[in-house]
Amino acid sequence: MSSREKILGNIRKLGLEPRPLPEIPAFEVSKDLEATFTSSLEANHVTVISCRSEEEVKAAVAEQTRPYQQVINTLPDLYSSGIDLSTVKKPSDLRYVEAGIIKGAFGTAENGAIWVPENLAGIRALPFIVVHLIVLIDRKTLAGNMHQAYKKIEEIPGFGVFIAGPSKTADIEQSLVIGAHGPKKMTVIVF
Amino acid sequence: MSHSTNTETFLKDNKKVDWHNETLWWVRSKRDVSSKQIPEWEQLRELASGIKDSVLSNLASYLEEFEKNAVANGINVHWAADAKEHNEIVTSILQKHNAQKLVKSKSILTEECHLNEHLEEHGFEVVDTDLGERIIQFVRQPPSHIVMPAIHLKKEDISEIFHEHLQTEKGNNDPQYLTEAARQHLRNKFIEADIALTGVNFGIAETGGFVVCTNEGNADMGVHLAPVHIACMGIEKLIPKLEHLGVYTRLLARSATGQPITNYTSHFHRPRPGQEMHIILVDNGRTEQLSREKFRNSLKCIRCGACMNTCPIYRRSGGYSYDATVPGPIGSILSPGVDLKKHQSLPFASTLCGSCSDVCPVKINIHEQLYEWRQVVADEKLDGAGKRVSMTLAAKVLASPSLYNMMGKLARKSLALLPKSLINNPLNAWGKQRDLPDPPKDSFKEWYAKNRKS
Amino acid sequence: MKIALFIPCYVDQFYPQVGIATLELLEKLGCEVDYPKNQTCCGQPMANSGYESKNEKIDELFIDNFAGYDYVVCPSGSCTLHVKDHLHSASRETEAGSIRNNVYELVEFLHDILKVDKIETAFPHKVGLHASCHGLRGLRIAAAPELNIPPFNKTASLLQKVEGLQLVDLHMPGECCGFGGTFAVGEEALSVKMGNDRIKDHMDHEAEFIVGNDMSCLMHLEGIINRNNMRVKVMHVAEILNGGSL
Repeated sequence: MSSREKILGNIRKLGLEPRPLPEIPAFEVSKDLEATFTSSLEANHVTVISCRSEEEVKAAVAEQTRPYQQVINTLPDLYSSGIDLSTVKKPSDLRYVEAGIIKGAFGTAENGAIWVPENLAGIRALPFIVVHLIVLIDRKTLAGNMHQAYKKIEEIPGFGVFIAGPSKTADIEQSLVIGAHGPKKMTVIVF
Repeated sequence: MSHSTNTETFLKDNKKVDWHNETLWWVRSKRDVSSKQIPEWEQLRELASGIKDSVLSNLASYLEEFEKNAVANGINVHWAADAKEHNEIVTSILQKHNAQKLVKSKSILTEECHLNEHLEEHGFEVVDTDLGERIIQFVRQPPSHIVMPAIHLKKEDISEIFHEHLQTEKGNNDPQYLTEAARQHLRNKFIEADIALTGVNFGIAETGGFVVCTNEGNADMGVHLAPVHIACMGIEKLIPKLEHLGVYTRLLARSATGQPITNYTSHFHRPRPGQEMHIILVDNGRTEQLSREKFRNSLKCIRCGACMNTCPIYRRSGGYSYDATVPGPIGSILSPGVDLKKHQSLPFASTLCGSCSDVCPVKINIHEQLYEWRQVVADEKLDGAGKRVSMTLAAKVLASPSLYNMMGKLARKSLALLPKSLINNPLNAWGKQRDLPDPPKDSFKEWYAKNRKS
Repeated sequence: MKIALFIPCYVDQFYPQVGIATLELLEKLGCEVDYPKNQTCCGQPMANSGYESKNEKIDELFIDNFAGYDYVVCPSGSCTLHVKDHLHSASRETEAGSIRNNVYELVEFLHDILKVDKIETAFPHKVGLHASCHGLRGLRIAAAPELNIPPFNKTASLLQKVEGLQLVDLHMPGECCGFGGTFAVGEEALSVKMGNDRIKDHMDHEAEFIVGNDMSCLMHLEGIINRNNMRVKVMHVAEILNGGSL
């Protein structure tokens, strides 16, 4: 007998009565989603920039990327220079990239989590390997809590991630250090 | 060795015990603040528990659904009846790819299976990439906490370890500096890795995908760079639908550390082009635990570690005192199911204070299960003849009013007569560091007979 | 209202004054109280050690003593909880069931059944309240600090009616004292460490008295206090509510 059959058989022979799944009710969310989203991110060491026009967004991106030589960019309309995604042969080519610019599908107010499916990340490794991650979020997309957030995911990508802040650790005496393996800095531009 | 013996060793360094206690209490306090910001917190716990009830009552069907959907997504699904088979599956994947180097993010399941030892015996290089796990891997220690694996070490210890293994400056204890050194070291390991292995926080039956949560981003650094991803998952980690993640992602990190969500909540459904993805579904005693009605819902655990942080015993005895893969209250109800003889002292490493059950985000009745395991230990006669004899005798005395009255009087009289030095001697565990109460002349019962007419 | 007084074995033998205070307090509040004289123990020491199976006769004796009353009142949260959770009988399960329903810890009884709104006594001291775990998380005498529910504390609300009594805040108000029955000897070193930490919390907040609903926890704390000649004292809540004199 294969282990698969053995495991399934062991479970089935218990003859447990199937219990129904509970319904998840709708819970109240913040009345000011953008304010909550912003404060959630800021509490988690993310810089938030609020923009009201495309010009402001472009200016913010330019300002944020100014210090860097190596920038990877998934949004050519907003930022004209940077490494062309199509020239990246393998993910480790991104090893020395300083900043990356991506767009998030939507944000979640209660915890600042931003949904980044792989098509928006460009390369799966991108949001993790760059030193400074810059994420653009349309304020109209905000979900209140994680229940609403999961409802917004219509198509499940091969890979998708909720990102709520820069890479962090507290494994040494519970002292918080930002930049364990991934980004040491994260900026969210709300437009 | 019993929990109490191990604890005595830990307690010798009182200053460190106080630090350990206060540090974990601080994490528990952050959890309190965070959970109290969610008005529906208690409702979420109820939902999380209810969803898992449904999973556990219908596990075979959910596993089949998960497998079907995962295979359709292009994931290779493996089944392992026990730790040995799990380790062999990992080895065979490594061998198939002629792989040498493996990077691994946190997985308590692989600790349970002793995967690292197995792979090293077979000549593979395994690198734990979670900072805490990397620290203890250098000194070949197991995690002392499931969320904070190196919480038993002080920064001075870690500085020493890094000085030896990563050539950091001697005596530089700055966490920022030490973390940066680990970052540089591990980045090379990520780039060089042939295979990346992760644990699984949640497997989703409906979509055939799985979720891995980290703050460091180490799981993602590994899998998005390596050509092969192996995910190891206990069969109880399933949830039925994607929408259920809404409940668990709200509870997990808040319970674990007080943060509203882990910084990275990664959802894997298909390998990237050219990559290979495997998932190993592991039983290793779980179906047996499922068969034990009183202990079944211990399988609801989502490994947040909140019961460790709140436990007044764990905080003062440290993770190693439990001598088990999963320490603390939840470990003390899981481990006896794996090896009752070895872990028989664990159900007694508790005052049954119940704090663990009240912090548990999936409402496992941990302290009630500790009580139930105690009954099993006694029924199996594992606790020694001395205890059995004294308990049988006590039960006899307490079942007879006349014997009870007589023995009570005798005890009070002799306590009043005996010199304190004899009562409070080191052989009497009560009296080693505590006085006994001064015995009164009359018991309440005697007072009542004299002072109230019946 | 037929009330039976259940005095736990260790209170009977070592702390009769707590039993007396409980009885006098209930009488002052106008209750007619019976004390079934053949009572011994609820059986918790055996059960918590894994020997619930040895308690058959103890349970039967308990039913002999306490069946037929409207309420069974006990000055211990721990013993009350044990009866509530574990009293059973093969031949008299109905009686066992009604005792499980009708057994009350003293403070619960005063607060929920008698709905006491005035305590005519004074205790002009700083008091630290030790919330024993079985009362706190088993009987829910107060809101457990772990839960996200509106705060309440039945013991504190009664103590606050005592003139001059000042409750102090604690660093870890829901923390176990480390007694835990046989844990106190089975894990002696840890038990004493936990007790010391608890006492320190009360003393750091200038409590003159550590007051609780369970004499077992207080016996453990008192043992450490007396051994080390600490300046804090322990008292059962019944002694204070009955008009604690020193």
